[in-house]
Amino acid sequence: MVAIIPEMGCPEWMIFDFACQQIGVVLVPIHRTATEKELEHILSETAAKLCLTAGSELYRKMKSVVKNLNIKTEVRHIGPQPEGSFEGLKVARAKDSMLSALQQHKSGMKEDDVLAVIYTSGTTGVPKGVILTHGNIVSNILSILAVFPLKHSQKVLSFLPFNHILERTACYAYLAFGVSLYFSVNRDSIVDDFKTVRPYFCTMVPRILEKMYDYLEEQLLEKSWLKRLLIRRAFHVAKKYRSSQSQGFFYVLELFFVRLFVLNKGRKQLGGKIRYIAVGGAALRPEIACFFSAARIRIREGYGMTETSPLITMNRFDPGLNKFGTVGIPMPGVQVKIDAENDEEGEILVKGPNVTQGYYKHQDLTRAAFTEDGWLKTGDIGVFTNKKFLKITDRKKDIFKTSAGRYIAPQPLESHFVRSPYIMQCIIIGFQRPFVTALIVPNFSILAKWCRQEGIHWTAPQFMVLNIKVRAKIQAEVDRLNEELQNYKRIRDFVLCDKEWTIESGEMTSSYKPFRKTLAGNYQKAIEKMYKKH
Amino acid sequence: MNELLTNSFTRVFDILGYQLDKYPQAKALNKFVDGEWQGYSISEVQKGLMPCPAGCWKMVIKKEIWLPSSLKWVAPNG
Repeated sequence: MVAIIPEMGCPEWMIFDFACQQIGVVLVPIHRTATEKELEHILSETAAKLCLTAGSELYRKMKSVVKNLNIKTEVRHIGPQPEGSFEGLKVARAKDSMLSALQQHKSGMKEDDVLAVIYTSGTTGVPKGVILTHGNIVSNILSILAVFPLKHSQKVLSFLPFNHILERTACYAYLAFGVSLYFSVNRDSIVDDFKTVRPYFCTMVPRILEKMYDYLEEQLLEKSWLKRLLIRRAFHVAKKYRSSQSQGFFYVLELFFVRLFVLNKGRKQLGGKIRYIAVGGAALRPEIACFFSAARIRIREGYGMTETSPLITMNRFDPGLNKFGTVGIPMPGVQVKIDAENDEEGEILVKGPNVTQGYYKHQDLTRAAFTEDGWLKTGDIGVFTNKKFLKITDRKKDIFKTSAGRYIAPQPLESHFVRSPYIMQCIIIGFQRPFVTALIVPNFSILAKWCRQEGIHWTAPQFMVLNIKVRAKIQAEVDRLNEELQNYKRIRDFVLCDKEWTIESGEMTSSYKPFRKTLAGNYQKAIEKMYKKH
Repeated sequence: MNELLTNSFTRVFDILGYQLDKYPQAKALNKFVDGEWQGYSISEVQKGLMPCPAGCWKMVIKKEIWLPSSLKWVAPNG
């Protein structure tokens, strides 16, 4: 096995990936922010012979991990620095004998051979290695070919980390479509890359769209009344946008003007030619999908997991086959059912050629992941709406009971509260507690503008979260959103956090889901203090 | 699902040949180098692929390789 720690995708990673596939080397992609503990676990379990990293910084980190573990993994990088550089990509010419041996290996590869072991970030517990075969991934590529609206004359931009299963499978599919695939090789250059490449299509995680949406909401605090009016109108019109329904004359006229003055500017930021964005990895707020669709960027949300290579369902790009707030229709060849009676909510079960055979070296976990008749238990709770669109309602493991005996599904509540432009991140607390509370990260950029407007002197987030007026502002937002909820679901108190939760800080998974246990641990004292007050 | 496609590739690396047959793209894979986008065609990628497995072979596989199809440790020429 060969462990790889890429950052963004690039042609070299794809060449290396295809090369390994042809000689039967199993790749183990790891996210660049994996903790030392996770790296140790993965390297020990896989006994990888080589670990290839994106640059020299990751190279040094891995050298130290390997040294501590006292294992014989060779560590190399594909960066420009000569020390530790991987010569595998630089061999000028292979010997004929070697090529013939390679050819033999290549022709012997079968579709049920293992392609990769991918360790899931998992919001709880130790990472598990998901075994994926060529057949698993190929089946998902074929279903993507049937669903994505791409032609070989188009350009696609790739900027998600290459270890991300969605991005990797999508990149394989892009090659099969015959499109020109452009890789952003630097996270700081993504905005410029959109402008120079002017892509037609890309895949994204919701966080990026949320940031763009938040930026526009921030503009509502601008001094110019005309700008404020136009943006407010754009939000209002976009909220009512439904592509499949015919709208009245005045709506169409208003849409024309808000597109001209507001929405087209957002589209230009993405190069101006973007038509479609496939979103996955976490839940997308329906109002954001609506907003971008009104700007003529069709956002389609999908759902999947590493264990399913990854796509299970996807809203379609064809008219009438998209429903905002749902994750769409099962992919061709994939069976989905709900473990409940009478069309009620229940655990989502999946079967199909894209489903993994199990977890590497963990037969116990594999057995636990499947039903007796071979359905994969996703651990997600969902329901079919309109008999065909799957709606995810929560993660089975995240649902908890308060000490008052009420069941709380935290994800829908969290999505509800981040609708406030002043709340950037939120997790619900309440397991075995008398009532629901929350950890809240304010949107500091909007808050700073609001403070300036209110004449509050802005210093730094760690001081501002203690400011009485700032707290009162967030309280007002929470109260406003609480109004729409049943009593037992309302946030009774909250801790204001002074730092954004990130993948780098180890508080978010690589697909931007919060590590609940880590966050609860990090803010344990503040949480205890909060409950003692009541 | 399109039967033609299903028959076209069964292993992920078959995509390269499939693309080359169906839509030979002069700039299939692109990255930004020295102020401009540099593109590689699939034929160039395949040329790059030839030495790459050999390089991997030389570096890693000479010792031992975990062959997924057999799911057991085997020597490289075993």
